[in-house]
Amino acid sequence: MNIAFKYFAQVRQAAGAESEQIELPDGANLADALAGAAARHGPDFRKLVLDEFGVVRPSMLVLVNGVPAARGGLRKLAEGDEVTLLSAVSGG
Amino acid sequence: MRVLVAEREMDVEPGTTLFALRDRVKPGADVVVYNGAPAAADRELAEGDRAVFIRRGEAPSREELEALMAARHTPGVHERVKRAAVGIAGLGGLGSAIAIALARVGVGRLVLADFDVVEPSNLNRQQFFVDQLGLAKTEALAGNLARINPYVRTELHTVRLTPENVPGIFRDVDVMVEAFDRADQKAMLLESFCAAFPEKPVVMASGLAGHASGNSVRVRRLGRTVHVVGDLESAAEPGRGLMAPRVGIAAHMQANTVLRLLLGEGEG
Repeated sequence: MNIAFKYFAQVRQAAGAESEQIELPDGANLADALAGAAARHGPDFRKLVLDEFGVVRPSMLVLVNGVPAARGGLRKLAEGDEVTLLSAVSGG
Repeated sequence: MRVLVAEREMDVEPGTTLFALRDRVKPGADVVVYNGAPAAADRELAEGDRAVFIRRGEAPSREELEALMAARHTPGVHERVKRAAVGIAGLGGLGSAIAIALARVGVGRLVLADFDVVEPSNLNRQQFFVDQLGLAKTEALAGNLARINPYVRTELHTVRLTPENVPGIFRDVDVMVEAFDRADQKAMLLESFCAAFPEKPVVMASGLAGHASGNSVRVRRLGRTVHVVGDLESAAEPGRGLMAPRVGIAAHMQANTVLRLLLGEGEG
């Protein structure tokens, strides 16, 4: 199935693209999708989005179809879903 | 003939003087403002003149303050804003300024949460005063808000926000504001609030440190209910601190986004 990815700020720089489509196996969940994106874009992207155990970093904002998603990544994805990634930065 | 007294229309007899009107409307008023300037001498009023009578140290009544806001904001806007409740998570440079802007505009209820106390290092950008050092930020800010708009209702939570307590504390707000300092806390608030209330809007901030151009701070719609204010990149770090002007720009853009959402208008 095809999943759309939309990237902002540092994630966009690491991916070298604002958006893209990534083909994933049917039944893939959000964690699989992020691992797939990390595999495509290499170590800088992976280090920004995931920790050494492959878990989404605590500062990462992850949305599926415009709705914030649980960072556990267990949510199943479906054809045409859109995953949005932005790494929040400190300051307030 | 008609004149405006504290923005409210009033019929007065032709020939009525400014001080006679003062003695009728607010006896003992110390200060008389006539057509936008302090008036020391009495004069006869003319059609359409504007007057404000002030007793120093006396807060306006709820009705007086509401009439002033309705005149400034239009009655339709004022009524909608007055009925609203807004949650603010974090009362630092962003949250304290957002709360003040929303109190000034007449938001009816503010749910304010922060575990921290006012420290000297906060004073470069946060809306507190030197005589409030050491106070809980919730208590200090509530005191400041009461001096601005004593009729805004505040609900204070002096606790560290966690995924477990966020849904309960902010259960009945119309719009949620993320105003934390730490990036992981920003993500935590977004995730925990949206899991509990997926249809409620959230206004967050990311990328506002330093003194780069304020023009790079903007509002983006990240998702269906999520708006993000900032340049998304300028993290607070050594050599790029948090400073009042740019933090204030972001805070007021967040407050304006809240206002627009309360009025049914999207942003970004």
